[in-house]
Amino acid sequence: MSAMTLVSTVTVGAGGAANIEWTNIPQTGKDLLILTSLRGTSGANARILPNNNSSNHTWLRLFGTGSSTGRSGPNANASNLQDIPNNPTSTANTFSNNSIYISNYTAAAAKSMLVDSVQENNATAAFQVISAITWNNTAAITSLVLQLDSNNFVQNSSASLYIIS
Amino acid sequence: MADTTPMKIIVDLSKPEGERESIVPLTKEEIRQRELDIANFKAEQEAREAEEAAKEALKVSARQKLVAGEPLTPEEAALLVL
Repeated sequence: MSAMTLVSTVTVGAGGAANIEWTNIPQTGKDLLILTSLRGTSGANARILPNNNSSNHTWLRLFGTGSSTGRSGPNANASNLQDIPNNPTSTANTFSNNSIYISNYTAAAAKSMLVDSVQENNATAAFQVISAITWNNTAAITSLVLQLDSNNFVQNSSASLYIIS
Repeated sequence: MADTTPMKIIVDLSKPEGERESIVPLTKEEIRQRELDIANFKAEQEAREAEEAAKEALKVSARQKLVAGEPLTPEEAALLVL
């Protein structure tokens, strides 16, 4: 019988944090799920880095901005969570709602990640994003880094890691 | 002057609950790699935005020519014809 097990929840404190990292991830599951609620002190771009590796990332995303739609990619860089966190111009005390699903994280194969995300803003501009990310590396994922591109995730940003077995 | 070294929250899942979380500064190498990645992303984004702007300019020109009954260039026609 499959199970979805919460292994860790991180909530950012008063000092903010540039990175949220999980190390020594148990290799007993099949997939990983990261559910996040994020806001940055500047910008709205972030990255998810398996094994803290910023190489061999390719991603493609579809997005809505609140007033238009578009796509970007395929891109070959590690800033693979573009317009995912709420940025500081959004309504005060609001955070984005994001899901990052990583299939077969222990397999000796390239890793596929699905990102499903909405920003929150009491105005027209708020991104909705669905992204497909490939990390072309056959190593098992033993750690994950969630990093904002510039400055910090603000206090009360949170990220929960689940193992799907 | 306030220390602005970026900090990271590390959760070591090999440790018992209650002992897993620590907050430490990013290393110089991590900061360097982060800045390099950001620079690469910005360069790629600027190139993409320039390409999109050029396409949009072609579309505007093509529409104007259609209205005026003027011939389109092959690049303009390629944007409008599926």
